[in-house]
Amino acid sequence: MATYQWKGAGYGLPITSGGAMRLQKKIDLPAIIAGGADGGLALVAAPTVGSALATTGFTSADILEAFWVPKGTLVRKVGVYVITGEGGAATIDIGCCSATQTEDETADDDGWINAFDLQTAGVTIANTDATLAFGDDTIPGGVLYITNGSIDITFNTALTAAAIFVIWADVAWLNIE
Amino acid sequence: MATYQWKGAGYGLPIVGGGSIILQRKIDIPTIIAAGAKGGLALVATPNDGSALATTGFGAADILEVFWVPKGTIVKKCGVYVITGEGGVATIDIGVSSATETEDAADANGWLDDFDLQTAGVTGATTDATLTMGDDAVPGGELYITNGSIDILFNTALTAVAVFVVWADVSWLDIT
Repeated sequence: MATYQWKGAGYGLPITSGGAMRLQKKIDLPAIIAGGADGGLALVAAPTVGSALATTGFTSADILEAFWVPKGTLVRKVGVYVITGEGGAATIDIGCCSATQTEDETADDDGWINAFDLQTAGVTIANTDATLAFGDDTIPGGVLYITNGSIDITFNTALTAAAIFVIWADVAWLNIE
Repeated sequence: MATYQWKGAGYGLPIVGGGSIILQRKIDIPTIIAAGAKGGLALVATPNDGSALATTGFGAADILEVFWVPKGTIVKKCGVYVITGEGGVATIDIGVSSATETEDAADANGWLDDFDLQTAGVTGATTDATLTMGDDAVPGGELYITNGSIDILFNTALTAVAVFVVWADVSWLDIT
């Protein structure tokens, strides 16, 4: 037997890029609504055309592709912090709505967060390890995107129009080309 | 229902800032003592005045605000590595001494409980399951909702010899 090393190796952290990062996005529903077609949204079928969100806000089963992530993205955790509460029950899920984007090749719209309520300011959550399909106990190391894809918010409640919240994702990137 | 995306979005990692980082600080108690009022410490009541640490070192129930962190900081883990041991029992806790800085209540040993600085080469870090600021209790990390500090609580009198590194695994979220 023999023990090999990399030729000329020295001590250091062999980072090739893609260190851990925190993505974050503030979702300010009143500002999006007030912005009309310039509020920053588009429908997936017309991605370069601004789409006004109704004054009644997101409705039940609406999806917002909160983060577009490239192939090779590893998502380890996702969380939410509510800056301004909706004032009434308004739950969301966070997951991946596509059946082909992740290593599991199964859509799971609540893989990271299930039925989190935007009702009250100051509330925070992140996915637990044990109980969710994309949690660390189920998928140690994180969920791998095997194609370009998105981290999706599904709105479970009609008339979600007042909340302001931050969504974040703890990610890294792997070169799987 | 409709599926929305951000107008004109492209695939990439849309980093706004606040990637994960390891804060670290070497606590060299003999050096702090030797330097007297220039040892780098101040009392919270007079933050701009150097305060000498007694030659007997930190006393029981003394607190050192080891990292000052801004609102929006998320702390995932804390740990310690002992470079020079105290030579006798000298335990510390790491947590938050304030009841208003984080999303939860004050917890002086939220991340680390009764870690002993006695022996060189020993390391400790937050476990998930057993601590109130561990990952099982606060998935994703403990969020500071105001500016605040990560605090070391000295449990033992006469902690004067140890040299150790304390670290914290943090990121930052814009919750303004």
